[in-house]
Amino acid sequence: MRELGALVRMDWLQLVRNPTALFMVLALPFGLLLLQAYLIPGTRTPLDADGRTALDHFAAVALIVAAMSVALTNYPASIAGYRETGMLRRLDATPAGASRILLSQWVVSIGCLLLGMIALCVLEVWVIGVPAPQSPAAVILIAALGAMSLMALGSLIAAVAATVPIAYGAGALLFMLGLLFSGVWTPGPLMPQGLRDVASATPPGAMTQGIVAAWFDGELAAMTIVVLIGWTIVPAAFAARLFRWR
Amino acid sequence: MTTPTVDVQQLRKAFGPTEVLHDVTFTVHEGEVVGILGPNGAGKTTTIECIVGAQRPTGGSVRVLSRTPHLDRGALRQLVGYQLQASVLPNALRVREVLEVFARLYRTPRDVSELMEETGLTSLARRFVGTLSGGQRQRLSTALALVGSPRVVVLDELTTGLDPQARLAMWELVERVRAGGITVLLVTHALDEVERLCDRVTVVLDGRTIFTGTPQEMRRLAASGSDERGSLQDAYVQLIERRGAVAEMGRK
Repeated sequence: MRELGALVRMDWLQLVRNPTALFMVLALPFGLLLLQAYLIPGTRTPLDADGRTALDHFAAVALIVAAMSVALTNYPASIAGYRETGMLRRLDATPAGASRILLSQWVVSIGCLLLGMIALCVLEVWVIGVPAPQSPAAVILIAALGAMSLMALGSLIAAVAATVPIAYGAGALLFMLGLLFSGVWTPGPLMPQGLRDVASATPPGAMTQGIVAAWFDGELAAMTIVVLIGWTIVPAAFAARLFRWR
Repeated sequence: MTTPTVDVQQLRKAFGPTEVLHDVTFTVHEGEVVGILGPNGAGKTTTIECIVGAQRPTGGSVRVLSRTPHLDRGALRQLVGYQLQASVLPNALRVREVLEVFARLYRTPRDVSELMEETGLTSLARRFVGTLSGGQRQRLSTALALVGSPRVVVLDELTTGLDPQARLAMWELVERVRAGGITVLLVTHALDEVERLCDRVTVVLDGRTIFTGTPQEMRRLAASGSDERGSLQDAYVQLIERRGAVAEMGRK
């Protein structure tokens, strides 16, 4: 734990002294949400018999976009940057260990993510007028499990990407797929059933559907939890195995 | 006869089809400062990486403190300090913060204030790493190699690119390290550095050890035993040229 604490301190200090990455993480979901709320017409019109609007769905999607920004682009790029500059090689000469280095980034990234998600929820409920979650505990649980599954996917890139551009490139590809599965272009009932079924088996899709169900119906589906835990354990184990120091 | 602290025997290392180390053999005993010399691309850094366990040898054997580095890296990381050729450090951290972070990675860390005093970093404690000069970064890099109370420290091109004053400061630091009983492996191109600091020298050429002995013995060998008064620089160049020519003839 002492070693992990030291690495977390190092990563945290580097982040707070260069917060551009953090700003970019929040800029995209905030921008997306504000566009939907105030500039794009018709987003407050009910999409189905439940009376749920596109904006309601975007309340969940914005959280997933924030999570994907951190987990699929910033975090892998940060580790790839360590690899590219030789910092990982330096750490390899110490007792730090690969799993602690990845875990330290998880702690810092998930910490940032939670702050970002809280800020987004405040904006959604108190400023934009999205109804408050029916089950805040279930929303938090799905958000936390979803963030971990996305971090595990990001770890696969972080484990092997030789340079920052490679990490950003691979991350951007997964990010675009994530946008599709989370329903950025086809919110809620507008997503075709076939795509919805595929999406529910992926971290961004399961996370969106799980948060929408918890937020608006107060429901927590066991299958969503199984999918998110599975997508955490398997990629994380592979990432620790594939990790390259140089 | 005591067991050598570092024992490298007929070390071979290949990357894919390319063998870069063919036969490297030398030993280092406790408390010694041993220099590893050789032209660029001779295999010095690969040898060092096998010693610290970052590379797995293709053949031969490496033992450090009676352990096999690539099999027992966990234990050796606590006992071997490594200062890399290019000192890569987190620029956004202050000098003291970097040392404190690295100290917490080890089971028996040095006192950070004491180490900063010893390495001349006290006045730089609050400076950001990104603002340090080349010499100051090297001092920090060396301090990081020492922060875990190592029994062996590997210094790779410690003074390359430093001005004369900074080099002198680094030499004095290595002398203090040696006085503390720590075994030092010094990879270098600088013959004046070898002359001042090293008890013994190993010369590597094209992945093979071509000489192991004291600096005085190197002079004698190069001068065929007749003249010990030539400079170490001359002796080294002669040795490399002579062995290089022999190797070239062998290849023809």
